[in-house]
Amino acid sequence: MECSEFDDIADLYLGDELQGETNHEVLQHLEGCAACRRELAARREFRARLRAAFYGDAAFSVRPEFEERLRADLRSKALGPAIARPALFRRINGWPVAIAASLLIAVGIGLFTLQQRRLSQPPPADVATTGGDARTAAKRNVEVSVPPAQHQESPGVRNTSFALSEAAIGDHRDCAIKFNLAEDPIDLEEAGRKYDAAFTNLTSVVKTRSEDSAGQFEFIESHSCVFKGQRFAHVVLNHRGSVVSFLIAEREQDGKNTRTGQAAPPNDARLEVVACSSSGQFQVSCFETARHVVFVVSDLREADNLAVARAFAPALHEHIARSENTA
Amino acid sequence: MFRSARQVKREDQWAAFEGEALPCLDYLYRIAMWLTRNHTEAEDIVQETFTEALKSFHRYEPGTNCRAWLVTIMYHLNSKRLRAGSKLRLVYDSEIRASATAAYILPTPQGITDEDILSALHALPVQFQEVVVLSDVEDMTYKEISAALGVPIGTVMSRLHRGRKLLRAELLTCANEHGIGRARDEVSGQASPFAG
Repeated sequence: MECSEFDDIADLYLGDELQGETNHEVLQHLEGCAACRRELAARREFRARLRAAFYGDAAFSVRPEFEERLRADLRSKALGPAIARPALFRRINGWPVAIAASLLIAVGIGLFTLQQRRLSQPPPADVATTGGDARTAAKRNVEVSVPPAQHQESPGVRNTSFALSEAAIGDHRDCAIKFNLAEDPIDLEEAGRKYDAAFTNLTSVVKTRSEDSAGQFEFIESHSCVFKGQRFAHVVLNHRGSVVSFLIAEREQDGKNTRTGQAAPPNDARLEVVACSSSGQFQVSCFETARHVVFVVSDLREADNLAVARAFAPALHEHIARSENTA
Repeated sequence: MFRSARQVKREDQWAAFEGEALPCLDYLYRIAMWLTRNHTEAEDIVQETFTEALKSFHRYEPGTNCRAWLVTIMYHLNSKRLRAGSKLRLVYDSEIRASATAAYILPTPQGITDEDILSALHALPVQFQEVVVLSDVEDMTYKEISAALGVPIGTVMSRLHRGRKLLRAELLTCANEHGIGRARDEVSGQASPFAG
C-alpha cells in the first residue's frame, strides 16, 4: 500500500468501516511507515478534540426541566390521561400508599373468602325448591362469584364456574403462549378414547370450519392438556396474528354446577355465546352444552374474541351435543 | 386492579420506549442544538422527534440502532421545518476550496481551543458540518448517516472527506490568526502551528 492510498482510507480505518482484508493491509503499511503513523495519530487526536469540544460545551447539554417536561408529556401521550394521578395523590407517595393498598387487598381477600364459604354451603331453599329460576340464579351466581382483582366476569356468564374459566385462561397462557405446562399434552383422539368422547374428532370439526373462513383462521395444533388438575381439549388457531385457544372441558358429571346446583342448558336450548370473563390481556368467551363448557381465549379485543367464538360455536356445539346424546 | 388488554399493551410499549429511546435524549439534543443553534428551537425539535418516534415506535425493530433511527426522524423533521420557514440554506460546492486546503495537521491543545474548533466547524457549509458531526462526534456509521440524511453512502464519504479537509484548513487559518505555530510539518512541508 502506498502512502497516498493510506491517506484516502485513513478515516475509514479510524471509523472501523474497512473490510478485514483492507484493514490488514493498512496495519501492514503502518508498521513500516512512520509518517503515516503520525498522520493517523493526528487524525485520531483531531476527532478526540472535536468530540471534546462538543461534549465540554454546556450549550449542548439538556436542561433538566426540559427533560422532566418531555418525559411527562411523552408518558401522558403513551399511557393516556387516565394514568396521570390526580393532584391529591401526587403528594401521597411511598409507605402510606403501600399500607393503604395492603389494607384494601386484605379486606378484599377477607370478603372473597367469606363469599367462598357461603358458596360451599347448600343452596337456599327458594332456589332448590323452585328448581332454579334461571335469571335469579344467574344473577345470584354473578353476585357471589366476585373474582380476585385481576379477573373480571361479565354479567353474561351463566352457570360457568369462575374456577373453570380461570383454568381456561391459565391453560391458554401456559400451554399456547408459554409452552410451559407441568404435564405434557396428549393426542386429542387418545384423550377422546380415555377421558371424554366429546374430544374425538374435534380437530376435524375446527379444521373444517377454519377452511371455510377464507383464510381468516389458521389451524396451529390440537391436543388434550391439563391445567391445575382440569383436563381440556385444546385446539389452537391463529387469527390475524393472535393465538386463539378453544378449550373444551366437561363441566360436571351430572350436568349440574356443583357450586350453584343450577341445571345445565339442555342441548336443544338456544345456543348462547357470551363474553364471560377477562383477565390481564386475555378475553374469554364461552358457551355450554348439557355437559361441557367451551371457552375461547385470546388477546383479541372482547368483541373480536366473541365474534370468533360465535363463528365456531354452531359446529362445535353440534359435535359435542351429538357425542353427549350418544353416550 | 383490572387492566384492559389495550392498557397492558400501552404500558409495555411505553416501557420499551422509555428503555430504548429516551436514553438517546442527550445525543439528540446535541445534534438538535447544532442544527438550530438555539435552545428553544432545539427543544422543540427534540420534543417533536420523540413524539413522532413514540407514534411510530411499533415500526422500530428492537435490537437495531435506536439512536440512528431517532436521528433519521429528526433530520426529516428538520428538513420540513427549514422548508416551512424558507430557511433552507443553499450550500455552495466547496470542492475547489477543499482541494486547495492543507494536508493533515495536528491540532495542539495549547494552541487551539474548543471554541476555535466549534467556530471552524460553524464556518463550513452545512452539508459538510452535518456529516462531520454525525461521524466524528456522534460515531454513526456511514450507513446510518446515509439513512438519516437520505443520501447515498458514496455522497456521505465524499462529504466527509471534503468536510474534514475544510475543517483542517479553517483550523490552520485560525491558528495563524492567533500567531500559533512556527515549526514546519515534516511530512507536508507546510507551515504548521501544531508541531510538537
